[in-house]
Formats: sequence, C-alpha cells, structure tokens
Amino acid sequence: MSASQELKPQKAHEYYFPKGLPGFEETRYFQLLEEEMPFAQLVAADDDKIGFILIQPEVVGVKNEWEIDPETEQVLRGGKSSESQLQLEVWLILTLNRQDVQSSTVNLKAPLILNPEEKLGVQLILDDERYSSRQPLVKQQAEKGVKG
Amino acid sequence: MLVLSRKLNEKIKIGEDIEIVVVAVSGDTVRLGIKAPPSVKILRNEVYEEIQNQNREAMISVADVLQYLDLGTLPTSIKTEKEK
Repeated sequence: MSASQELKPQKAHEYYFPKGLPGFEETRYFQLLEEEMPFAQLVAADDDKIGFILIQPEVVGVKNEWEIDPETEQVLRGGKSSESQLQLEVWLILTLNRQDVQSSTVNLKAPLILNPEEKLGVQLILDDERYSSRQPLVKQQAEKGVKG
Repeated sequence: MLVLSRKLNEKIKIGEDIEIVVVAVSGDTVRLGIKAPPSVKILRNEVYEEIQNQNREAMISVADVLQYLDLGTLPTSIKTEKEK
C-alpha cells in the first residue's frame, strides 16, 4: 500500500479460515476491515488484490436463518470443547456489478460465518434451492405489468 | 481417476469411513446413497463450483474499492413494492 493511498482509520481484525474460501482454497489469513455500516471488506492478509465486499444479512432481510452443522461449529470453536453458546457473526459476499451498481447481488447460498472471539471463519455452503448465490441487493418491484 | 462399474445395490468403499451405494437407476439418472462421517462435507459438485465461480466474480481489490467505489453509493435498503 503506497503512502499516497491512505486508508481512513478502520478497525481491522485478522481471521483464520482453515479451509480458505471456495475458489481461494490456499488463502488462510484474511483481514476483516469494518467499513461504514452495513459494509465490510475481507482482504487476503498477503495480497490486497484478493478482496471481497461484505454486507450484513439484515440488509437483504435475512437474519439468523442459517443452521450451522456441528462440524462447522467445531471448526469455528477452534476445536475447543465448550458448552457455552457460540457467538457468531454472519456476512454475505457482495458481487459488485460495475456497470450498474444497483444490480449488484449478494451470495445467500454461501454466507461467511465468523467467530470473533477465536478469530476463525468459514464460508458455509448451503445446498438449498431457497438460497441464491446471486440475490439482488435491491428487490425488484413485482412484475405486474405496472412499472414505476 | 478410478472408474468402476456398479449395478443396482452394489457399493463402493472409500477409505475406512465412506461408503457409496447405488440406490436406484432410472433412465440417465443414478441415485446414490452416501455414508460418511459428519466431518466429510458432501456436495453436488456443481454447487461447489457455483460458489467458487461466484467468489471469483465477487473478488475486488482494495485499490478498486478505494478508487472506484464509495461504499456509500451502494443501495442499503430493499425497495419493496409497498415503498413508493
């Protein structure tokens, strides 16, 4: 990062993703940069060309829907056994449409699940046709033949 | 890649803990039963590939985010049909 590109002060936390991300299986360490709500950036710790815009699920009307299987929970606990309730953070990856920002989509099918206490993360894939990997950020008005 | 032929109800054992059985064959569709420990994630390949592709498409460098996009311009509320 050159001196001329000053990032405005951000909170940055480094997370370890034991399995990387699909498509980026070799990348383990990511920085979570909190931006103006409801956004964040996830950036590979050793390569700032590998980055993702994240958005909070509430923005697309989704909250606490995902069932975390016990295996994923174990990964997020870092293998520590504990009876306590796991506090998790969920983010969705945003696919920016550079030609038309309004048409950007979010990935509901593969949310990022983070454990802020252990700084561990996974991308959970939901083989469930209810969830689209390309959910529009802005809900289109129902096509009733009436526009606007 | 190991290629095997199996008939209906025949099985394949992978390692110590994974078993695959042909449950049904109907036309060009094979129905498979899979027994595996919970630690082994089982996915239709096209679903995994879909996520790989989506992640790659979503990838954006920090430089691009800084120079190209002010995150504040992204719509952050859903415009539902009841909103005018």
